[in-house]
Amino acid sequence: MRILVVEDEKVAARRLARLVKEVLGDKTTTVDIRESLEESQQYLARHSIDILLLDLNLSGQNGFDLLTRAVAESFQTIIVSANTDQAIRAYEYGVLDFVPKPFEKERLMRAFERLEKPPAQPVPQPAQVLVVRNQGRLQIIPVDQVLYLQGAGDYAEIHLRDGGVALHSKSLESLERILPGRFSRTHKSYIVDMREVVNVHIHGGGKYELELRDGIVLPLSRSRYKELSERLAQG
Amino acid sequence: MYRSTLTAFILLMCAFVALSPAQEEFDESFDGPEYVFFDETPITDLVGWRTFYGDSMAWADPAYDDTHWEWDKGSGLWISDGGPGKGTRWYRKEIFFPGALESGRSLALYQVAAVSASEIYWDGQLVARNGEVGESPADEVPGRSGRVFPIHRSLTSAGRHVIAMRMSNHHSFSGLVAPPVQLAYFGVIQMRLFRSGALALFLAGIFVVTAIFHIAMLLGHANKWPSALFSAFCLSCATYIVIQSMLRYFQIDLGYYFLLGTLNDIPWFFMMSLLPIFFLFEFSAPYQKRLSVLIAVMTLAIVLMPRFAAFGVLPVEWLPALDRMNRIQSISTIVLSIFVTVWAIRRRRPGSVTVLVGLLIFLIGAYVSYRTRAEHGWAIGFAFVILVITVSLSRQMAERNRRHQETQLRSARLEIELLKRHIQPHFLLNSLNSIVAWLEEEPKTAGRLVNALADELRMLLSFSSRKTIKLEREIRLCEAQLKVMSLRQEKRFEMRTEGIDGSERLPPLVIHTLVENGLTHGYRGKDHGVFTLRGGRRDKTLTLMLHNDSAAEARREDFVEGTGLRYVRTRLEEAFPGRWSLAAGPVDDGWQVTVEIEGEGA
Repeated sequence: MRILVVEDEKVAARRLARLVKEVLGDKTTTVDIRESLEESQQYLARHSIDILLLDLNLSGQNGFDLLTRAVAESFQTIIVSANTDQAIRAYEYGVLDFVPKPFEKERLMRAFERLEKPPAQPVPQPAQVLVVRNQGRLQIIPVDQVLYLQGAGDYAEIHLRDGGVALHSKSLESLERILPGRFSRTHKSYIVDMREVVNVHIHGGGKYELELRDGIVLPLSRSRYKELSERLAQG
Repeated sequence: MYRSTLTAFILLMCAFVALSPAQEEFDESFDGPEYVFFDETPITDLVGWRTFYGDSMAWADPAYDDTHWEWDKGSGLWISDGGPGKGTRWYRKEIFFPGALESGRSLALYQVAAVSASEIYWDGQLVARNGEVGESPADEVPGRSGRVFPIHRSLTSAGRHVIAMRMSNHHSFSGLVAPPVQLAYFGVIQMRLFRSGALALFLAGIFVVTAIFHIAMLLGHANKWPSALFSAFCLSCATYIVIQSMLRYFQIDLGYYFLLGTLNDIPWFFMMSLLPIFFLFEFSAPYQKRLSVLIAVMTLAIVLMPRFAAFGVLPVEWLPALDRMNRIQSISTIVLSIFVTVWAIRRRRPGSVTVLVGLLIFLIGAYVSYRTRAEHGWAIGFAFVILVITVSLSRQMAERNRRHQETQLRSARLEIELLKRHIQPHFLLNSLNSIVAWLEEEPKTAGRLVNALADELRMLLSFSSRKTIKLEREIRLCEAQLKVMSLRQEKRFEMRTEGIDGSERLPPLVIHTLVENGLTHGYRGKDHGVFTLRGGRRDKTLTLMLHNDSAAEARREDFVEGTGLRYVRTRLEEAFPGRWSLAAGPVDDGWQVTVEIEGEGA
């Protein structure tokens, strides 16, 4: 895993890098440290990473600038900061976790666990908006406007209620870890807002389909069928 | 600007004194009876007398030929007419009634005040006796002021009449003779006396109540000068008008009349000097103390000089001019007050416009009453002015209360904000995070950081509620902060001072906040930072310049008005209201913030 630490206090940055290596062990590919927003942007322009560990208060520069840009990217962002008053907003923007300073190794470990395992339970503090890069500009999409998401290679297509489509740099796997619990992975290529499902169609040959409110029909994987039909029967 | 306007004002006042009209001189060539029309002039001032020093009962005879007697110059004092202050003297005047009096009414003579004792003969008949006229102090019995003498109808037929006054002056000094007597219908005089007396008491009441009000305002007021000066002014007005009324209506023993009149110079002096001095303090005008002394000295001179002349200390011939100067003084006082108020308006001092309107109305009123000799004219004007000022002051007080409450609230909020800013979780937690990191790498460094942090916290807690602290303590706090940040960021920050003796006073955490601003905005990518605090005093202005050698790229950022600077501005305003300035901007080798504080306390 390729990791970038953005932290302006050197000693704190060294400790964070050290702990990351301890937690990830062999899975660590690179851990690099950058002190400022400019430096980290230059770094990100040239390197692709899997995880960004970001201090939200970077010597007076607005860490949210970088945060907004970061959450639009393919990598996951974990905030490591003493500014706990900004945690709620950070979660709304779709960070994977917010680790308050000072922290112990165990807390960092828990943050990385969110990355590793698919969530058994709904995401505790899910994103409220999705930030996407649209022709070089950042566009903020409220999660409430999202109908379903469709995987397209490393990207994800976001299908909106108004029929629009946006492209997110994150994979479906990554988005699944930050979206609210009502979004469910119904298929290896789809995440659907379950409130929008009106019917489940069963076709012969183990083929299942979901019908959404607007008449949209999406494939449903067999493994998810049983669980969903129960949920729909109850609902 | 202020000085040149002031000079212009003084020159203007001199010109005003020089050009002001002398008291009307009587036409000496006029000879013959004065016609009296009661329907045109209800109260006739009997002026223009022939006068002679000496005593002879033959002079009461209407047939006596007085053409060789001198004309009375009417200056008001025997001594200024060239005569002695004491002695015996006669006055004669011829009057003419064109028609008969209204039926059923009779005339009366009203003698405001004369010399110690007097007798009045109407066509040779004694009609008034005020005290006992005598040749020597032993013979003389002083009369009383403000007497009214009715004249029997049988004496006041149409045609020519001769009034002769026999006067002696041994108990009183000099003697007031202008106007010696007034002639009117008895009822008219009584009504006039009643009205004037009632008006005087009414005005005195206004002055006293206003004075009490402003004395009450003194309590719990930070700047006591304006209210104290103003209540003193009101009390002077009240005292003056009460004494004046006693002289006219309370029938004072004429032996003490002149003494009491002279005593009234004291409240008059305070009235004339305190009004402009009050405005100087009320509007915080420059040179207020020096100008106050100047006004007081000038007023004292103007008040005292006629008295000096009357007592022979100054040449007696100066008396008419000095008297004239004294009389126009109420106008010059108002003009001076207007000058201060106009200055205050240009400086946008609260309440100044209201006060100016009041003063202008009074100026017009004072001039009119000076020209028409209206009774209590100036007092009515002053009463009006003090009401206007009271309204203006009350409004300002309300405004000040509001602002005071706001400031209190704001500084309470600021103190919390300050503690949050410096001891807030974010600062503390980041420091703790660094301590944890150092513990794992270099426990000794962790220990140093803990100590530096503890030092800073102790100082922060002890300062934050103070209004001002000594600069040396603030510098120690900054050094602790720089030590904490040096250890946290593994950079070398230092504080240098030039021209600071440490005893200067500033609101707490002002420099600290500016240093912190420099730290957050200026040292990305630099390992060494120097903060230099330069200071100096010139005249009464303390200048502090905080310079930091921050990175060039950081300086391109705009200087943001964050909570830090808002804090600095509010604390400066709280400690040195209206006399500080703050400027910040890039300089060749870094960033510089300049704080200037005028006046004392810094």
